Amino acid sequence: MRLVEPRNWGVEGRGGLVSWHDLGYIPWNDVDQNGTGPASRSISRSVEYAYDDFCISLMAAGMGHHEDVKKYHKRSANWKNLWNGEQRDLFQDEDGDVLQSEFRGFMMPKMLNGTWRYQNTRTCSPVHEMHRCYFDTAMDTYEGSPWLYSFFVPQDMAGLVDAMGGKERFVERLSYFHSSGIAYMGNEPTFLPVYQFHYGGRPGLSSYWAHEYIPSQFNASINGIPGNDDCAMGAFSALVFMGFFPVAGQDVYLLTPPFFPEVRIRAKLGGWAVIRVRNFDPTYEAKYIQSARLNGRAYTKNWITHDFFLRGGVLDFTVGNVEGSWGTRDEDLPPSFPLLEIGG
Amino acid sequence: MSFCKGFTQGGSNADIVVADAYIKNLTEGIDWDLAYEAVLSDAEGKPHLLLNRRRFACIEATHANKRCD
Repeated sequence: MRLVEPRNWGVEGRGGLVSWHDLGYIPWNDVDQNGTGPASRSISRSVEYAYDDFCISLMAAGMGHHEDVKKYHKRSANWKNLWNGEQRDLFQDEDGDVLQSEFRGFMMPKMLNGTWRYQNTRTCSPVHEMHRCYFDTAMDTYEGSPWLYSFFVPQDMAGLVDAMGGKERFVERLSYFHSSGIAYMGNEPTFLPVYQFHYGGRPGLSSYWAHEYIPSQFNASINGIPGNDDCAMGAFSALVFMGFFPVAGQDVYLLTPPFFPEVRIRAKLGGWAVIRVRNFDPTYEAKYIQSARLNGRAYTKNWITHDFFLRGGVLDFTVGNVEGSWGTRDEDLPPSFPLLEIGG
Repeated sequence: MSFCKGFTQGGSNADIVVADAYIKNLTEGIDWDLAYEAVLSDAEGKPHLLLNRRRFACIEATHANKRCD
């Protein structure tokens, strides 16, 4: 069969597919003879194509297309091709002095011949030239910085955590992202990083940052949302209020205490999915889950599956003023899908 | 395939939306074989005219209250 890209992959499908198939990344200087589109966003397109292919592998598994499972799962590891473990995080202070943070290793653009290029890790974040990265502005990330896109590996967060130096370093880095001004909540790619502390074994910090952003940036004032809504800011707030955040494309919802004493959702197959905070604190000082029970049984995983919303059930949280041990062990973390599991 | 017809911001994000619906057992009115064909076309660049023709035929059939297969 002749393979044909969309003639204009700026509006549908993907571009650079020959490179994607042969090299496993979109090169900065890609030569695409099969279609047209803006030759930009090589980092963000690569990490997104990798996750797109991962999602295809999940569908293939469910539908019995066994060869496709391996093929697309293998491509889902392509994020590693743009991970430059040596890349430093350089920035200028107000006096123009060049400084670097303590973090090393970022997604970076790469040439066709395999050599690295450089885009400043902070460009297109609120702290550095925020508005340089759009559809056709020839930067390697789209509406966000390499700092942001370096967190986009939802298919293998355990692999990313390792690449970033282990759970403790990962949590330090994610905390720095949120506290340094680099994170911008007005754009959707920053939603998941509010919750990615779950993968570092610190679900309490996800709750901490959820409460930092709501209500400070999401509230009932005239400018009560960051950025524009596009339906997403409202959806984000609703999910944060209810205490579960979906990792889209996977059967995974990350858990935090709801902002209400109880949330009830009608279950698809009848009955209700109920999430309760037994000792609810309206001041939200107590915003850290200490223990949980699912249908009466102790539940230590920091995530649930869609089954809860299909069949219904009762999820009870007990909360406290400091982080506890709930949801922090390796076996409590959401799933990661490294290549090893199916032998590459 | 993008979620909205318009400028594609990054990847072919409809792949994620389609997989999400599949994994969460949405079934009503969905032709999963056709959906699978669509995500593969994103990943492989299969002849898009063929796919579009099939999709349009499917939409027409649906509008005429006929089975789409």
